[in-house]
Amino acid sequence: MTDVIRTTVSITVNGRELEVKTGELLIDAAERAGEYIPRFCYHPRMEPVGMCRMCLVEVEGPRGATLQPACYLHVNDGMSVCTNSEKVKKAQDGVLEFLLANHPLDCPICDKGGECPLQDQTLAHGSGETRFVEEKRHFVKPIEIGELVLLDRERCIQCARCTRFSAEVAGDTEIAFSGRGDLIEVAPSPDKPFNSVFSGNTVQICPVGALTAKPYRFSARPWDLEQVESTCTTCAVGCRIAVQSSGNRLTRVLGVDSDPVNHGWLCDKGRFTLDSVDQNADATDVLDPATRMVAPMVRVNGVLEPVSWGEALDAAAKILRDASATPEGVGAIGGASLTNEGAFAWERFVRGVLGSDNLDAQFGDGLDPVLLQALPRATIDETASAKTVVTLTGDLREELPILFLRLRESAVRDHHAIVEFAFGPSALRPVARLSLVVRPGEAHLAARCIADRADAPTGVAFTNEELFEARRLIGESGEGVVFVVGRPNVAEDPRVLEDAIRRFAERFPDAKFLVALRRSNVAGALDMGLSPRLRPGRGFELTSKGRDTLGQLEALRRGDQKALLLLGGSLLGNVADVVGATSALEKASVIAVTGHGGPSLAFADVVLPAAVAHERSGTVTNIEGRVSAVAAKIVAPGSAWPDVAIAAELAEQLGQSIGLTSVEQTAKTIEESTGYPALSVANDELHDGAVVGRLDATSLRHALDPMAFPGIRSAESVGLASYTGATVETNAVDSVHTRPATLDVLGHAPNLEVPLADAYSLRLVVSRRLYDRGVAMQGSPALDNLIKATTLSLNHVDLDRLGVEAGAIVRVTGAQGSVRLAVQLNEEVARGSADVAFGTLSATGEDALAALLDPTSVISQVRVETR
Amino acid sequence: MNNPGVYEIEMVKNTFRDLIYDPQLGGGVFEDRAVKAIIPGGVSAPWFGPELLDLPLGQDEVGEKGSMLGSGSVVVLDETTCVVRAAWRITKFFSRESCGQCTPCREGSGWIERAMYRLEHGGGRMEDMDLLLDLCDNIAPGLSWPPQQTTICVLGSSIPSSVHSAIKMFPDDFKAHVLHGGCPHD
Ligand code: SF4
Ligand code: SF4
Ligand code: SF4
Ligand code: FES
Repeated sequence: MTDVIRTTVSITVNGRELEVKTGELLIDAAERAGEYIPRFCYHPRMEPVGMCRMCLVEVEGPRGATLQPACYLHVNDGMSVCTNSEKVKKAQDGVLEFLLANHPLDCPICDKGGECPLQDQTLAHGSGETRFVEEKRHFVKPIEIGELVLLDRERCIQCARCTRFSAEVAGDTEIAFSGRGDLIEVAPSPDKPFNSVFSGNTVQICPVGALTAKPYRFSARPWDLEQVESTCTTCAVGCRIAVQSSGNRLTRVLGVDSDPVNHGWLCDKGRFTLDSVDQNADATDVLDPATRMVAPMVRVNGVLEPVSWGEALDAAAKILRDASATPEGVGAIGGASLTNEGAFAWERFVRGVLGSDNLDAQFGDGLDPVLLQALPRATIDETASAKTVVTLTGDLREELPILFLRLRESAVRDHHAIVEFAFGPSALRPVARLSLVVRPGEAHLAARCIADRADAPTGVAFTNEELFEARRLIGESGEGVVFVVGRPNVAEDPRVLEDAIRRFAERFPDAKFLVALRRSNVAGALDMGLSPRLRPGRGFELTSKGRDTLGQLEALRRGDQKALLLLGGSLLGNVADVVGATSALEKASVIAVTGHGGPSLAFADVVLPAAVAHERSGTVTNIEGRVSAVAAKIVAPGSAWPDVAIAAELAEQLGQSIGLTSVEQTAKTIEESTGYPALSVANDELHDGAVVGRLDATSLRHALDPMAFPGIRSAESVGLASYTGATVETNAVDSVHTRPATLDVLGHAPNLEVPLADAYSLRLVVSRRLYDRGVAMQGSPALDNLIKATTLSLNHVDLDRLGVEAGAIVRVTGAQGSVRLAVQLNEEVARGSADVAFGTLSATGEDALAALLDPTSVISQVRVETR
Repeated sequence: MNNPGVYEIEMVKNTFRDLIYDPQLGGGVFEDRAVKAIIPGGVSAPWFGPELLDLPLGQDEVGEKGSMLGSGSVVVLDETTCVVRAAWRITKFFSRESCGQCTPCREGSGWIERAMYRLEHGGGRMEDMDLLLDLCDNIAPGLSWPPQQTTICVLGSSIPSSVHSAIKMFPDDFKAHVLHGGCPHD
């Protein structure tokens, strides 16, 4: 006889027999059956604690019916429960009254008013009169516990949602309970302010107005807000969000619980960057990334002057016509911040109208897109459930914060192994099973050693023991292993990582890959063909001679290319070699299609203002290839247009057509010509989107935590039925243009010559920070002052060798100059290397990278002088 | 007591009266005062009146009468004791002991403590007795023995014992506090 594993048990709730999932919590089981049990402390994404006692229900037991917390009780076969007896009502009302006893009468001045579960339940069940005549407990009114969060301890109901989130989910230690009895309070750590990059989540899940977010405080009332569901494009995780506005003003972004992606969480950058969209329309400094572009501009006598769209398109067309006299005279750089529809429109424009293959959505800071396409891809879920995850990325908390949360959870809760290629500091270090230390120029050597079962060569940072352990965890064929691949060091030739990735893909055929390129919709832009050798819908064309970003910058410097179309204004903020890019822009005629200003606009001859996130609809694609919808919540300022319209009009101006007339028709065209599910996602309200090329794209809509949307979306209004997504597949047409690439098309891997490090130099690691000097940060006053100055981080061995103390200012010299930086001690930096942040300035406002990068070498080396 | 102390005696064989009056044991009440109430097993236990002095000191026997031997620490309240003050102090102990995790214990103990303080120090109201009983009921529903609980642990369900016993056994003492505007024993 075979054992049948039962996946359901039957329980009785209020006399009704229910089939529920084995082992699930009673509060969830009852809710799905339509019996909503009130709660404060329970949160479906965290371990229950049974603290608030609001969810007490009567459960039959050997000693008769007793009151038990439904959030803390796993269902058992035959369990009989009553959720609406007099006894239950009395207990719940009693808890509510206790909670209100010390609760201040703040509702009229409380941010939570109107969406407060405590207020709502008091209105629904409370007696209307207080029996509490004693003096209430008093605390100093809101205290600032971090840069973005304030705590009002009088309003706190001690549910421990915030402290559990910090400890369990984020792994932060900055807030915890202190004290006891009715003087218990949430307390910030005495020496570490609550500046976690996830701090905003605690505000969202606080069931009362105890935690408030500085940027939102007193700015709106919930009943004045309208909201749409959308996707965050601040990085490439693609978290689902609810975007709220009051009139044409964005007020708040909340995380939506998408089961395959973000579990309701957001990072603070994604959550609080909305001011960068709607707060800077009056600014005039076009070189400032915060400034919104509200009118077309043309350079007249050296100055950008606002003009009509007609004049601007005319000027742009003239530049393009002149430059495309030679076929290789034009090209486009950028596009990662576009929607798929915008990217598709510009791809048609550049290839179809300008006849050029010079286009690239990456800034030379990514990886070979044909290689990436050839890899067997993993979803985020598959990565989180893989038995072993190997990361070849920078610090994921800084690059793709919610992916970090998912991987951290997988390691901590499910005990999956993380093998980290440790290029520098990383927040995953404490939970990683193995951190294999690699200095710049060593990753491919480590990969070869693992793949070929070879010993570590002399002089490298990793050891044979680490290689052995890595091999053991990866196994023979890579079954159940996911490699997360990104670009940990922009000062290292990408071929180092590409070589490592290829080795792994070839050696471990059963392994899968999650491509962790971090910028916004870069995955969608590449899928739409914004790369010389790619074509829309994941096709490729290896014979293309088109230039990528670095190739175009080179050609502009040589004078072979005359004109440059910038898709997004942030070229100079994103290339590693700013010096080289600046001299290229100086020589070029530049048309910038952008919603924001930026240093690159110093070289623009024409500026065409574009709508940005929350002002445009369409679809975007995240790191795992999930296509999901973005919504327009407000109207773009001034006369900014969506990109599809700009590309179409510019084509008209050149006497041609790209055949696209609206975002919807573009989505339809994408879907019809490539099978890419743009239209189905945009139209179908596929909440969680659909993963390109997956037959199993069905997804279950997770029950929303009703407290995540207090007052605005309750469990009742959202509905808790499971949601089934669409099944999608790209058209597998057998032509070279639309067949996805495979590893064998790549040819031989190039031979890499890593220069020998001399004894006086340190190898440079240029790593990403979440809080960089990008538009998202600089355009939002709430975030702007969180950007930290770049320091030079070193291991203590190198500090000692150099004879410098942490905090000292040193002169660091690289290939193109020198810069003064403060020294920081960080043991996670490998010996013999030095870590510097990308996209931030030194304390004295210098761009460290411009001085230190060696664009001609596989790795960059720097020297440190103490005087 | 004349001889307060720790005594080892055989279960069931002795009664409360033996414990209190036996010269080898308690040696009688201080100044020969009358027993007003007995807390049979620590401050978590519901109180007994003097009519149960002859109850044997056994788990089952005490349990049947609606209390417990618990920790075995028997407290004797004599006729001069203010039961409001006694119950207040016990509640204050629990309020300070509460770890603060769960709502009924954290907030209930503090509320009851403050209301009892008010009764003892003036400011008591006639309706406070009903209020206190209802708050107790919201911590230990039914106020039965052994207690039910809305709390995580039994510290919570220990809070009502003294207040409930005091109000039930000595309602007149509470009324006197209200009418007197504070403790008449002061
Ligand atoms: S948390 Fe809720 S109940 Fe408390 S003051 Fe704010 S709105 Fe009112
Ligand atoms: S601050 Fe909010 S989330 Fe944290 S314990 Fe208090 S009520 Fe709960
Ligand atoms: S992790 Fe990325 S997608 Fe998610 S909220 Fe942050 S920036 Fe947005
Ligand atoms: S005790 Fe169950 S929701 Fe708080």
